[in-house]
Amino acid sequence: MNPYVPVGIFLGVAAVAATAFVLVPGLLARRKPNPAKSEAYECGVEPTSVVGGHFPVRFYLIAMLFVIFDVEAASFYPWAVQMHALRAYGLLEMAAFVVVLAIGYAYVWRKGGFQWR
Amino acid sequence: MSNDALVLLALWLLPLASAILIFAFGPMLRRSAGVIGSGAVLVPFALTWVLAASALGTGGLKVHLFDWIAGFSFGLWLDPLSLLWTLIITGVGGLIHVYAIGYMWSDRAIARFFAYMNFFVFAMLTLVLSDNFVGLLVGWGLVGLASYFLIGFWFFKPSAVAAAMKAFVINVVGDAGLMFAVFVLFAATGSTAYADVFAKAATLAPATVLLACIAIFIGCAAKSAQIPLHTWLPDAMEGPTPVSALIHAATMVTAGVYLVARCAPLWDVSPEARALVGTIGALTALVGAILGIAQWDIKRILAYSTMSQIGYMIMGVGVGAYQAGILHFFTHAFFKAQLFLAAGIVIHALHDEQDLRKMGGLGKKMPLAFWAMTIGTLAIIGFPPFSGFFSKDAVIYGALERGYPLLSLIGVVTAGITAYYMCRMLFVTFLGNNRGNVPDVDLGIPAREHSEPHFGESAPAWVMGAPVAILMVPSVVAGWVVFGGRWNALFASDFAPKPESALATVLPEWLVGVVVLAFVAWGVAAAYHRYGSFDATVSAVERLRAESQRMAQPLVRAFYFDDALEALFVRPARAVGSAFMRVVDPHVIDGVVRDVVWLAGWIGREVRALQTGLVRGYALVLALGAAAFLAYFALIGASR
Amino acid sequence: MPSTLTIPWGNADWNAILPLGVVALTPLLVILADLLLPRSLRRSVVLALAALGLIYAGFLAARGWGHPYSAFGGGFVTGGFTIVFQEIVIAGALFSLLLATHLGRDDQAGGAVALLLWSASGAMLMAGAANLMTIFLGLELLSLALYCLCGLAARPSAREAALKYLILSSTASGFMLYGMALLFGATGSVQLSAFAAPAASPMLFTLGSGLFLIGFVFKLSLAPFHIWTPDVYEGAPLPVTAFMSVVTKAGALAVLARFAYAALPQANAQAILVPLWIVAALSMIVGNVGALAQTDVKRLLAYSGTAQLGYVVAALAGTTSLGLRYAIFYLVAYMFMNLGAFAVVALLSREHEEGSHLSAYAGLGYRQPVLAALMTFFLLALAGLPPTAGFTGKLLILASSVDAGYAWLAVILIVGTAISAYAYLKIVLAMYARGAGAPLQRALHPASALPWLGVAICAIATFVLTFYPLAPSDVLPLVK
Repeated sequence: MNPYVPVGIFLGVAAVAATAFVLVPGLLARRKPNPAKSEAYECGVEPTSVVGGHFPVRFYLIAMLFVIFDVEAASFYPWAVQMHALRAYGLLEMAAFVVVLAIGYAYVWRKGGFQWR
Repeated sequence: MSNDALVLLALWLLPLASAILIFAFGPMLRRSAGVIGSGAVLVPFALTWVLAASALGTGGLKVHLFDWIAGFSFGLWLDPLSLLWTLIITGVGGLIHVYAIGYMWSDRAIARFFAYMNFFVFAMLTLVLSDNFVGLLVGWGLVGLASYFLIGFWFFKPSAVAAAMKAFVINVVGDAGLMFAVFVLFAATGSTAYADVFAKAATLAPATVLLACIAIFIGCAAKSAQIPLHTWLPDAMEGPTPVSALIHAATMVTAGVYLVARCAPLWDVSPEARALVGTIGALTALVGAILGIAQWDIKRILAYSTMSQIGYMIMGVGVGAYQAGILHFFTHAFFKAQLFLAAGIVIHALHDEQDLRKMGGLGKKMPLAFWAMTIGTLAIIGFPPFSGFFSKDAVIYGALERGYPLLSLIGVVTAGITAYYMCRMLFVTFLGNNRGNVPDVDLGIPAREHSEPHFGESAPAWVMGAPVAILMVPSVVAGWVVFGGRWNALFASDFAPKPESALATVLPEWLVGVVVLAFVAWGVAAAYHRYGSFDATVSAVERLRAESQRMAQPLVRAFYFDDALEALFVRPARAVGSAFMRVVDPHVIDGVVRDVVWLAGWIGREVRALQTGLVRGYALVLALGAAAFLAYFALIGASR
Repeated sequence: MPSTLTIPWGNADWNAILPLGVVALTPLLVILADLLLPRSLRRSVVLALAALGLIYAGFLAARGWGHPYSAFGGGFVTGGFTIVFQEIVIAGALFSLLLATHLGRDDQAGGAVALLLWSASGAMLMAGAANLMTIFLGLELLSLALYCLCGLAARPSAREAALKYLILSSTASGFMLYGMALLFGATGSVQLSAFAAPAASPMLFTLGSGLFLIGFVFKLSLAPFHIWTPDVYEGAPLPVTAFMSVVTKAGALAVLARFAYAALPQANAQAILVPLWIVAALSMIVGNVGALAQTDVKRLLAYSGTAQLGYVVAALAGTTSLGLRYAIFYLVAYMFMNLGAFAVVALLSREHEEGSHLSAYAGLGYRQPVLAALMTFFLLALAGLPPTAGFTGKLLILASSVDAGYAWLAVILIVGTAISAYAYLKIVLAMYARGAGAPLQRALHPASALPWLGVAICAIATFVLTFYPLAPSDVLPLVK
């Protein structure tokens, strides 16, 4: 017998069980929502704000831009180590990379991506 | 290309060119669109006569147009069978076009009407002139489309739109059947040309032929209103009366007859298919006639009579009496068009009144309509020497000859019923006194909204009168073509000679004719006895009212065909559809709900709940699909 | 002392990806133009630059016809197959640009067009990709740009669309990546050409193929993996929807066809592909039934796209060489009729409102007879009625699937067609019937006349292709 068959059976049982656990309560449960039930539970205190809380989107934007440029700059290191071996070909390749990066940087800058408004 | 070929090409394309022209310049043309449209049908009629000689020659007139991809080449083929149909389409069609100029005189959309009508003629010509199944299929689909547009022509009437939709849906069912048949034949013979397919018909497996025949006949049944796919035809009467006359009486609905006759080589090798088609035809004839008894709407009576008469034709071509079946098509085209046009005159004059109970005594006021209707009725009930007598008799005797005595008997009984309900319509409409002023309640007519009379000024009377007068001549004499056996000789090359059954040698044709006549006489007498003196006196109105209310339910509900179709297909389909929608696209139902919800002002919570639920639900569907995929792959992987 | 590395590829390799390179580099110029030019000129210059770049790339790609070459160690193969799909991608992108005159705000136009081109370059890479890594690179390049584009319109449904697309598409990518890993594990190679040999572990290989196929079936939005399509199509801006409906599909179909025809071992290829045909059949039904209930033309076209791609995949059934030609033909026909319909929607759109709701079509036949007639034509083409390329294409697909022994697919195709006719006719009915009495309040105010060009070209192409079912004949030998 194929050694994977027991694994397959196990996976099948797991999938069926998991699906059933998700579906059965939805089918069987009584559903009578009222405003009080739908509220977030805050130890009996009336909720004062949206549960998720507010974070400025700006923050994520700038953090993301930082990560992009940071990670891309990381690819300078292997090139710097192997610069002599790669010679002109490597130099050209990296120059092209920098140009692309620079255009992107200019775009973000001009479009106001770095401004905290 | 020879001259004949060019003429054929011209007569085929002229209606299309005219349709495009009228459609493009409609607003400028206004009523002259009618003249152009009629010309574009009558000129091809003349051209068809030019080609008659070469069409009747050996093999007919063939025009090869272009080679498409391998296995499909398109061409036109004018042989005796397609010649007959072309003559009727352009001849009777041309007269109806002229009549329509008058009928649609004050309709603002007259140009659009004629564009559609010409388009229909083009589509119908494509259907009958094509020399292969693909071209047939194209024409088959296009006539359905044209019919859909014309039934729904008065789109401001919800009933017209619903009727158009119903006709379209049923026709699509038929189209699917026909398409399937073409593929079965293509798979079996490797070609779609009639000539190639029919040459190989005898060598095919019987099961294949039977399958193809049944599939073809599904197409025919839908197009020609055979039970159980007939329910769209009475509703289709919502279209303007010229449309009813052209499409739903004389031409399009007989496409099924044409196709069965065209595919005669297939039916010849499949006795089972032959029995099936003959039986369906006979039953349709009977059911249509019975349902005709219970109607009060003049056009619906004519619709049921059309269904019934096409039943005769299908029975004729089905049992193998091809010449008889198409002879009945030939005569029916004249007298049915005439009946419709005469009814149109009445309806037009009464400002869209179609209810028999509101008519009566019209014979003196509208002599032309009265005589036209009388001659048409005599023809349809098969009274000698009117045309219907010869063709109906030929069908009934044909069935007997081919060994289907039971179908023949049904035909005889139906002839009697036909005489009854047609005379009922004639007497109630034209005899006695006028009941136009009797209130609806007294007549037992259920309350309903009246359509706006949209006819203002009217056309010169001869525009509508002349076509009716012209049609009277062939309604009388068309049947005489049988004398001297010329009719049968005409189609000798198309159809195999008929075998005689034992019964036919015992019963001579004249005896069958006499029996039919006896039934007809009984029908006429019964109708006269019951309706001959229907006037506006209290007792007569009382009787009408009593009859309206006592009418047997199965008859009123048209034998529950609609209800059955509804219960069998529509409701399950709707249920499946909505269940399906709930699973597959919660957005749709919610879209409707959401609009309402939005108006009520509690959108926020609802939509948020919907959205968070949705992505999760979508991911679940994806995961389940992926699981099904993987299960399969695990299986075939493990089996290796 | 470091030794000199040898560069393993030469000029021929770079030439092979030249069209792709042009499409990938044009966006840099687009962005620069966007930054440097005054606002008034920006949008038109950006669009012109992008169009020129695409046309030049199309020209370069066509020049490579008849010079098959396997570049970058077999990672990218050029030849008839690649070129045909690259040209389809380029044409699809060009048509989308015609509709892009109101894509995003003015200061977003440059970025949006650049993303569109990058996305197209991803699809072009997929067209020629011949190993798992280039396939994945192309797919992600295509998708990442689209996630951003989907959210571009200023309405909540756009953000919803972008988010849904991101989440669900990433899930599908995950499946596919896992499949690729299994394929690599089973064969020890990432080259598609290496898969034809019997795998060391058939179990791993079949499972890997299955997971791999899931990814592409998702991209083709075949049922039941189509579930994301209607919402995303509805939410995304019109040009992006048009782009997705053709370019994404072309890229995914190229990979799928290459995988089915060139990669799978002969012995069990048919068994592995069976789910694909089932999914195609399901799509024809689900797509067309789903289209029935729609009141938004973009959603309707989304469902119709599912069905249409079902037809295309059905053509591949049995992996016959004729089937591939017909699939390509139908894809081309679909591109024209579908983009034609989208162009009509673009013409009906106004500043803040896309003309995709059914109510925008009420009585159109009387207000804009030409436009309504053309829309009817495109819808009839989608429904597969003559005389349109859709009819020819469907006929060919029917013939090839019957020929290949998949008559049941042909039957389902016919049934699906019958259902779809009803769905498309609903729009025709709306145009010619109910709204006739409505006042003429909705005159045409498109942002530009460019979509007219798209409508005209698509209409002519849809008509002409009816009679000339062109499908390149020497595609098949070049798949491998």
